[in-house]
Amino acid sequence: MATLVHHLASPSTYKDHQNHEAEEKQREQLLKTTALYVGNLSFYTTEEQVYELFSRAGEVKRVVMGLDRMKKTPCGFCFVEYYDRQGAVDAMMFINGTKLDDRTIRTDLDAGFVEGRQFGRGRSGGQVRDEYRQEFDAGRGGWGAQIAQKLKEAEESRALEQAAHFHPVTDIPAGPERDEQANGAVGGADGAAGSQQGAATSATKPKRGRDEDEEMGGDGKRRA
Amino acid sequence: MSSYHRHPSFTSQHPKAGGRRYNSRGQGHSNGHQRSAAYGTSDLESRLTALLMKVGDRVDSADPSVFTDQMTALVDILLADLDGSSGPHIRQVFARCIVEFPMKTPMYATLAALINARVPRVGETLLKGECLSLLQSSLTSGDWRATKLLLRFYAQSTLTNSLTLSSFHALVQPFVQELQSISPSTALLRDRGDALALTLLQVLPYGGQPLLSTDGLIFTVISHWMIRRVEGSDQPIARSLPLLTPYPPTQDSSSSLEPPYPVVEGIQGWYEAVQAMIQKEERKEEESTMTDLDNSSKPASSTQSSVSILLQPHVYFDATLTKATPVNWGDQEEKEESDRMEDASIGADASLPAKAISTTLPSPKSVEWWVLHDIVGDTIDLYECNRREGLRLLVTLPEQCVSGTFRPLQIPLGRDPLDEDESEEGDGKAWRLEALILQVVFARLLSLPSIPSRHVVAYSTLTSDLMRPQTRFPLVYGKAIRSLFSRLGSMDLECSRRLAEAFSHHLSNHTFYWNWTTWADQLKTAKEEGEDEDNRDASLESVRESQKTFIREAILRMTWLSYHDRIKSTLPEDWVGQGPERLIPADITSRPILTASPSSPEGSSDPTSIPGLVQSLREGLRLRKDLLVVEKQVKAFIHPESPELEDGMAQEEETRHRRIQARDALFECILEHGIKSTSHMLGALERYLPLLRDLGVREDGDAGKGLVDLTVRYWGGHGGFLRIVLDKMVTYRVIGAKEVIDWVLGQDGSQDPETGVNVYAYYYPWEVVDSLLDRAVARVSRYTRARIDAEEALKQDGLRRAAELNGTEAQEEDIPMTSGQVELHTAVREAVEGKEWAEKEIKDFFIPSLRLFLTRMQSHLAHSGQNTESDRVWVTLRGWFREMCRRFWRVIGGMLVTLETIVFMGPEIDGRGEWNPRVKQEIDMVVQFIKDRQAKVLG
Repeated sequence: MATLVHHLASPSTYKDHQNHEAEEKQREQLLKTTALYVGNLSFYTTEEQVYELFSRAGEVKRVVMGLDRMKKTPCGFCFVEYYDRQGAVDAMMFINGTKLDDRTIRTDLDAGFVEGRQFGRGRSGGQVRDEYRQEFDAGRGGWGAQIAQKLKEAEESRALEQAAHFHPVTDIPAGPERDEQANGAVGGADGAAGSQQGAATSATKPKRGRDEDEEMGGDGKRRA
Repeated sequence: MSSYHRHPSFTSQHPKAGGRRYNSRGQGHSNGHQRSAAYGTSDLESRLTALLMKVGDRVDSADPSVFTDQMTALVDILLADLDGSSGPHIRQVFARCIVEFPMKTPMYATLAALINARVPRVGETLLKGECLSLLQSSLTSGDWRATKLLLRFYAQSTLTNSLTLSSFHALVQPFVQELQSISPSTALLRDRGDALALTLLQVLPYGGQPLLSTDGLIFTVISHWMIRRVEGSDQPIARSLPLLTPYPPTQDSSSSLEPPYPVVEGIQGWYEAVQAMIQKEERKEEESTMTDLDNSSKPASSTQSSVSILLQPHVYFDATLTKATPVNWGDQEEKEESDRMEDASIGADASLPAKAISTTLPSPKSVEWWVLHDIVGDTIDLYECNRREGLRLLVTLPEQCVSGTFRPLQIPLGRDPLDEDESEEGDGKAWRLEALILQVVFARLLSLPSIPSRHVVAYSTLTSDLMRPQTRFPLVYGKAIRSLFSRLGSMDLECSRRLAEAFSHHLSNHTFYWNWTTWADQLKTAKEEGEDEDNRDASLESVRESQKTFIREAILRMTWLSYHDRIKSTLPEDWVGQGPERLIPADITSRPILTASPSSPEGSSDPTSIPGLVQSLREGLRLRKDLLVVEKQVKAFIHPESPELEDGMAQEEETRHRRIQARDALFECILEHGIKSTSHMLGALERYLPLLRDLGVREDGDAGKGLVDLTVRYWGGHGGFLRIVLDKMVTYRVIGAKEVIDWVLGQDGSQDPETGVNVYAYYYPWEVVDSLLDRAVARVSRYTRARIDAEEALKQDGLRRAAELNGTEAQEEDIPMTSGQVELHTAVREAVEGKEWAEKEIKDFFIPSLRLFLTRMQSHLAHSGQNTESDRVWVTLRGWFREMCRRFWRVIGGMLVTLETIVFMGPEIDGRGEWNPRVKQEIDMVVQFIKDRQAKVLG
């Protein structure tokens, strides 16, 4: 009887819909494969970092970085191909679920890289998961593509709306004279303070020194 | 609702589905007895399997009523099916559970006892059937762990009144007889005897006092073996070769954070611990005999395992079990044994009180220490393929032990994790599980002579996963690392490298946070002490250098996993910059200008000038121009349309010179292309490889050496990339492995002014060499496997053809070979040729490496004097040499004659013609090690 321990190097239930091989054939490929899909990478993770981490599990033949179909920039996944299967199995056991660039990466046995698979399949060019992502993820380009698109559209429409309703000022106001301000004609939020300050004229008010600055705090607010 | 549905494990649909409601095919679970194609078991069987696997998972020794209810319910469920069609499956799973859950041996023994008490016939089948078969097959296949665990189960069964003591003796009789008759005359027999003795030693404590003291036969035989083992063999049990003992054994048993030596497998340690335990039991027996004079009651310990920390769940069922009839397959009935349970007065609270356990940490001389290390080690090994499950079992180990054995893992909310819980020491919460697990992990990580390189990442991932919030794991890990850091001076170089690799990976999983300033202060103080002429201590200097190398390498590996600026920002300022005291350069982005770079823009338009060629090559690489186009440009450079030189020799010389210039320019441009990424460089290399070869990259060793120098000069500041590039260049056969080995071992220990790299200040140059040697060795086994596969396929094909010809007049030769057969014959031929070539390559790599090592060690000692331990270059060279011999002892073992010839011929560089005694000592030690391994493994 085989062992009762579930092996972590078992392929997931993911099915590549663009792989047109028969299901049985695909299963056979997965049993022999030396390739891994690596997901949840940061867009800024480099090939060399991936190489360094995964070569600890076996001898890496090549790393194929996943690219945004439109921009041709990394979009958060890659394929790692080992020279032998044991390397792929070991990576599934020991590297899957660990962190690279502060992100928990996910690996899965892959039937094998074929040209074209390095590109994201989302509508915007990246991965599908980034298309519908609701959270902000700084390591993966900020908002999900659809939200980003909505935000962009909202920004554009706001700009358009603003442009439609905004009437530029043609007569630039000169602003009140100082004396008027000092006499409390224009008060601050605390009118009393404003009128007290107004008691000193610009001519008699001593220049604020460094100590006073410090007492006031760097932000100009008086400390308690 | 039946008890089956009440069981807490009921929600788990599939033993391997981790509690998901979907089976492995993602189709959702099916009802009833529908059979699952994936596992060949019915749904019911799957559920029963899950129940068996979870036996005792939630036992609370303080309130065992829930546990006893669950066990009783489980017995009901199992009894309903054990007699049916699912019986064999359940028994098989039961046997597998025993060998896959090392900490639950008492649980399974109790379950079997309960079944036996209820229906003796079923109980007997359970103990005799699949469990015995598995024991037999484990012995046959040399699976000593499974053998040990099954025997432990049977030993425990003697306590639960489900197996007679005579039956257990009958079971171990073959072991005892063989151990009595075996002679430790050869390495193979020694190993066999050790394995038998060790297995028995590991089993005995589970049988408790009755097994140990009934007649003492088993232990007596083991004792005789130990005496004969020491007297009759020149091989001591505890090896004393420096090659194998990098650390002094732990002297201070009170500190749990000391590295866990001696190794867990130590037979001597087990022997002494069991001997001490027997003496203790004997004392207790004497005392109880004295007490018996006053009151005639038997001690409760007669039904308890001698491993006092393990929970003994059978005591909760004493009323049931005392009435049971134990299974007996011994030669004679042992009435007194069957009476034993009846006489014993066991209460429900018979589990050992916390006060009975030492309030200090377990002593390495106690059997508890050995058993706990054994259980944790077995769990780590068994669950290598599923570290998450292994981790779950490890952190729930306290549930399988007597309440109060371990301190709680969780730190109460609001309490600072950094606060030591010394105040708890007196309240019975004695041991720390964190320390125990990390001890075992570090013991495995640093064990010698070697571990598979993949295990380094396995152990570092395990420690990373252990760092749970609100526990003391991070604190204990930090202490362990600091403790090991202080021992780096005496640590084997290979162990230091493994530790640096694991440490860097660990930190990369925890935001690279580490308090470096403590180490910075230590190094500073050590430096100041070293500068004091009066108190100059070479050994202190050596320790400091080892520590610096470790830190440098750990930081370097972190930068490879992250990026330079990020790591730099976390380090003390003193460490960043240029100079011997700096551990990491301030900047790694600056690279040298290509030697063939255009010096002036004017010349860059002329395709026959170097600047022009470089310009066009860069352009070609950037635009991925076709090989033929670039080839044409290069040829235009090599053969410029210039007035013919009158002298033919001069013409030839000029062409040769220009070819070398073109080759270097192309190679440098490819290296430069790697700034974008490794794939860019490899893509360019693959595209223009024929041209590079045409330009003579492999013409001679000088060409290769030049290219290695170019690579190192260009990428020397980025060790990680350099490692990849050198490796790939060798794979593509642009440069030879020998040139790389020459580069690493040809250095004299000072910083190379050309490349800016001092190879002996790092570990990674050795890793480049190690990888090349390893690959050469792997190639031979790959070809061997390919030949075996092809020959097997041919054999099968021959049998099939013979079957087809059977009954016909035709001879096999009359039928032409099919294309498949031709392919198979070709595959066999290629595999044979490939293997011959790979074996030759091994010789080409290893013999020069051995020679280079010895020569380098000899020449270094000739120049540096004899103060070797404080000499970093010597320590590094020696460490690498030992590692090579340990790792590749099989290969080097086949070259011992060559090695001895090299030794006999004497050092080439020393006019005296004599080996330095230190070098000779290393050679002798290595030869002895290899011969010992050969004798041990190959017989």
